[in-house]
Amino acid sequence: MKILIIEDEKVIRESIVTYMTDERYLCEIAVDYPSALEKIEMYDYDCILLDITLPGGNGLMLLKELKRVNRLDGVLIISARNAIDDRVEGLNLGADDYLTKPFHLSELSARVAAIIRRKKFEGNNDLLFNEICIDTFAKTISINKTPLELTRKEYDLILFFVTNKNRVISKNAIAEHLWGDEMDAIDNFDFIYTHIKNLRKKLTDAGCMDYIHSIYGMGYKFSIQ
Amino acid sequence: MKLLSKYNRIYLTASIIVFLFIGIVYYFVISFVLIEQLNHSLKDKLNEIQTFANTNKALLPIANTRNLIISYKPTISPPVKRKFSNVPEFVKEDNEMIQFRQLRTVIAVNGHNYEVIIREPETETDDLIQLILFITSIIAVFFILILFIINRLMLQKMWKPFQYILAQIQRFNLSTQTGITVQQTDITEFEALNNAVLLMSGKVNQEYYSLKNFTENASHEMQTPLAILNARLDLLIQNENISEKEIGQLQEMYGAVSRLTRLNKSLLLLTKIENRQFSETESIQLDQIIEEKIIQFADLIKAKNITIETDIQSSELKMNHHLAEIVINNLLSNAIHHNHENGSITISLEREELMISNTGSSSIVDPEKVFERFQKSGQSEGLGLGLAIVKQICDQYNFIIRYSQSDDLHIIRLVF
Repeated sequence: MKILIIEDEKVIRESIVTYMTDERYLCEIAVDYPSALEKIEMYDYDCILLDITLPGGNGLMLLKELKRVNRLDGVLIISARNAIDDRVEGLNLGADDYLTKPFHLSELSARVAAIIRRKKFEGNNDLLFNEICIDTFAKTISINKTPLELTRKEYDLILFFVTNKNRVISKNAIAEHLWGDEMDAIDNFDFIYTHIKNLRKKLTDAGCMDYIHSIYGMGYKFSIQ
Repeated sequence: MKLLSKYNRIYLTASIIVFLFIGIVYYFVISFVLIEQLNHSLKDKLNEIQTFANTNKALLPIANTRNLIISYKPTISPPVKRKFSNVPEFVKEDNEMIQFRQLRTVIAVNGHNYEVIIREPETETDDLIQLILFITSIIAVFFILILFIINRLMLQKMWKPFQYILAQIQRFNLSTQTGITVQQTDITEFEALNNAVLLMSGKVNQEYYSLKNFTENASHEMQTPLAILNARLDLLIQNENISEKEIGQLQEMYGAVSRLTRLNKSLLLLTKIENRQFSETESIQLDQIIEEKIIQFADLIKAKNITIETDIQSSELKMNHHLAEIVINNLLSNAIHHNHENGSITISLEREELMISNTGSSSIVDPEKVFERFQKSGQSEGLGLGLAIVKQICDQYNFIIRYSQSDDLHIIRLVF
């Protein structure tokens, strides 16, 4: 998977590259408008991460350019401005999703994965992890080809885990992913534990290996060992 | 009191006083002149008597009429200077007391002294004075009336530019960007007012925009460093060699970043509401929003084992959907966070009133201060902005919001 990261802030750019490279994405970068335009014109990407405020031009102009040349690259806007207008305009111009800074890298990774799934695998939306098969189109899951009933939150949780496999995901990131940032001031994360406990039980009862590892005090890691 | 009425009142009082004064002066002057005339006529008659006496050595025969009464009386007193006086006398024909002007003197005729009294009634003079005064007052009343009407029309016309600019100032609204326009006027004061208002509104607009831009820019600028912190933390925790102690510290940093992020978002939201950037309104079903939010918060409610009681009727409001969601979100979130384990929340929604009450600590909260920014109870993890945001939204739509507390029950009442 090839992704282009258009972001002028060095640390954010590098962090994204590090995180995404570990996810076996091939990352290319552009630090300003002209270099981004050049890259876009030369190569195809599975997903483009686009910062709107760029040196040398507005990121929305790049969206217009992509639309003009009829390109099908997935686009995820990352913006410091969470103005509703920007969001609406960006999505109208053909962006697939919109993420406001600050964000968790696990959230970014999940969004990128979702965009690529939607763009690439027409007709095949299955996400595989050993004996787990997630049909992201029907939003169903099966273990060893046996369907497993999950609640909406549990489904979101396993999808989030699988798209961030082998990573430590903080409880903050999980809470924000599942409940959104509108849930102000979550003062304890006990209820996440309840959901994870339920999910783990359902998975192991269905004969699935226990891949959910608790990292003490920090969060969770979905991995084989 | 309107300026016009005030002006008219003063003007009318002054006019009446002036006319009254003029009338009194006029009365005395005319009386004086008419009395002088009467005196003159009496003197003429006396001269005639004197001349007759000198020539004919006899008294002028008396031919008294209504308007001239002469009487002679022999006297021993020596001739005196003529003396004028007013004498009232009962007149039988008219059956009333009549004021007479009398000239009394003593003349010598043929060696004898006679007291001569000549009288003329003042009735005609009085009639004349009355007539003159009557005409004068009519003129005065007429004059005042005309001026009053003219003033009214003139003043109304002259104050038009003022009324116009006043209406403009009243309609002046920073967030809707209604600028101020002025009406051309040739009245110096109003022109000065227009210019001053234009200048001031220009300045206010400018200050407002720079402040607005500053808050927005500051908030946006803060989001990038926050994103850096978040991203770095996300990478740091991937490290397999972190000690438990370090994990605790990292978790604290996550907490701080998340707190700062929420603070930043809340401040930005407050600024936007203040700037009336959520001006699009639509019909919203508040009952639906509440039901949705309860579902959204279900996990938090369950985690604290809170029982929730609802009595929700349909309530349609005209407001911004996003803002309506924020109101319910913040109120419900508060009711959960300030609740204790196994507590309860009661939500009742009527057509024009929403009541949310929750159990919580019985520490006294000042109902006046509860909606102020950064006002929070001691142990609260919140930012102290939730209710300030709700209040700001309520103010925008003229909703009344009240907080009350009875023992450990905290009640928020919202009247649309």
